[in-house]
Amino acid sequence: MSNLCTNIQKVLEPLKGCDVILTVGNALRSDDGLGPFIAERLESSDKLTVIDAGSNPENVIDNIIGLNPKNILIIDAANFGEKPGTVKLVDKENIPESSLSTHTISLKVIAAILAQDTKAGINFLGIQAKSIELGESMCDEVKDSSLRVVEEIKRRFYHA
Amino acid sequence: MSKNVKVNIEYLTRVEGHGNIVVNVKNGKLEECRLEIVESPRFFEGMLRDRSIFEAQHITSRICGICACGHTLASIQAAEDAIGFKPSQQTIKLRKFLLHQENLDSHLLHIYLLVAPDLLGVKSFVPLIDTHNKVVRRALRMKKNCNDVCDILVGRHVHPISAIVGGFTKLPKKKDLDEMLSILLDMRADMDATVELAKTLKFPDFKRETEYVGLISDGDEYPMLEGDMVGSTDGLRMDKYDYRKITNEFVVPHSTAKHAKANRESYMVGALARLNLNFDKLHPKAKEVASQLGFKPISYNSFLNTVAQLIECVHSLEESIGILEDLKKNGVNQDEAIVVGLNEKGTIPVKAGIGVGAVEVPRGILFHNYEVDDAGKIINANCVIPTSQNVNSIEQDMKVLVPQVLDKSEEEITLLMEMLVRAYDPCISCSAHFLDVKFVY
Repeated sequence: MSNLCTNIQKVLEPLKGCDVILTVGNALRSDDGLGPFIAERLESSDKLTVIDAGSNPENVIDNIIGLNPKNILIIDAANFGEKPGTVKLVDKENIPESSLSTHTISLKVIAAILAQDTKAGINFLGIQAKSIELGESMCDEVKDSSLRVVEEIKRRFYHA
Repeated sequence: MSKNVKVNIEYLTRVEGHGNIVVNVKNGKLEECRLEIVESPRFFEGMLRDRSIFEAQHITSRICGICACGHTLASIQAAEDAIGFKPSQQTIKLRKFLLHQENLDSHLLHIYLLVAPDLLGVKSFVPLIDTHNKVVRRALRMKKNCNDVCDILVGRHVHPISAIVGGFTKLPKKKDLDEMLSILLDMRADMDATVELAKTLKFPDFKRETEYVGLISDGDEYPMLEGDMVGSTDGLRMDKYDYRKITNEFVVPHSTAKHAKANRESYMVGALARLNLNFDKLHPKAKEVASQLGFKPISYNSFLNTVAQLIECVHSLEESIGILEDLKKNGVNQDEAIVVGLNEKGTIPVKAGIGVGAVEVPRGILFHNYEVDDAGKIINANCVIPTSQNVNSIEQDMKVLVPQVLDKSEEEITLLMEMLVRAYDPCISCSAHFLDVKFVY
């Protein structure tokens, strides 16, 4: 098992449960497309609902509230000054305020609304992007980490 | 006054380009004051060359994720104008409806996400979750409403799919009309609450007499999708084909966005310009809201562009409801739906020509100009976006504002400058990020 894979297992270790995965991102902005990329590789099941909100997470707030979830995991590209592909898990208090556009509602706001209305635990899985310039392909590091996140989610929450 | 102030507001944005504010006051005298636009050129006009007019709107829609519908509509108008195609009345009505949705969506986001935090005394939209929870939820609800209506009408809430040259590939059915109408009727309560919130907000007092440019019309309708002429508060009256004589674009060293001027050193476009030009043609409810908010044309206070946007929101909401009720009453002729792939086979005749689209999008008048060959291929294209017309006006406003506020603290001056830029709702990326501020002595 590679170090990166071990690391991702370790990163996701604090996650005690997950019944909704919300992915965010624009597939036309290079590494920002990692959210939709991951969602495409995860199927919803009885225990886990996967929702790709693309660039507009505010559109799916009501859908998620309707699911009455216990633990929500939000996945998005992030910039925390690490090497591209680095994966970090943070709780809702530490979700970054910034979003890709001023005219896009911050994930921190979305998370706060979801927490208030569902009482669910909310975690944010960020993957360090290399570039979010216009482009349809992700860099190798981000793609590799995204695939490993998919594997780990499947291992943890599909075969539990 | 011997005050020295040096403000460098820099932000390296991640997406839509970026701008810097530079102010340098020495011994009370303004030595430098400029808005630097250092966003990379995007060459969309180059991308349009050798492409079909039937795909131009899908390309130009990508110029902006906020006013994607506006670019789509200006692009379609330019293309249809070039080939001499006249859209049906039903198509025009649906396009007007689409433009109203974008106006609503864009203005509401600007009012709530970019301006309200300043006026409610917080650094960004995020802290409002704790201090103004109902306001946050209302903003989210209204944004979702706009997204949902666009989704129903044109297949997506951004970068519309079904609006094309010739008309629409998919026309709303009765259940679609019912759904959109229900959403918009429900939105009235939130709009009323937004107006009530706006009544409690205090906008900075400022005045700089300038020229306001926008579409004008001899008819009774508030011109957005189309007008008879392009006009100004200084009496300018020109055909849209003469747009270059209106914009008079010129290059300045500190900006990759061209500057514009007409009769004065600068002019302003956008909601405030439109209200200053066409106030009497607003929906009666919008005029009533204007009265409640104390807005009277002509207003020379750029900060009130946000108030003008809210008044336009009421107008767009009421006009949208009116269009839907009319479509419900008279029905939508589904036979007008355009089938992609048939266009090139003679359904829409193509010929060589030059066309101009002039559309009032959320930030002001937008021009698209295409030269098309006899096969429908674009030979040359030119797009003049509202923000590039406004950049010069922002800079001129800054030059007037700074000397008036030198008695304030650096922090207050910085905030005022940021608020001024935000008031224009510029589509550089993005005024909210001007919050990273450095003072250098």
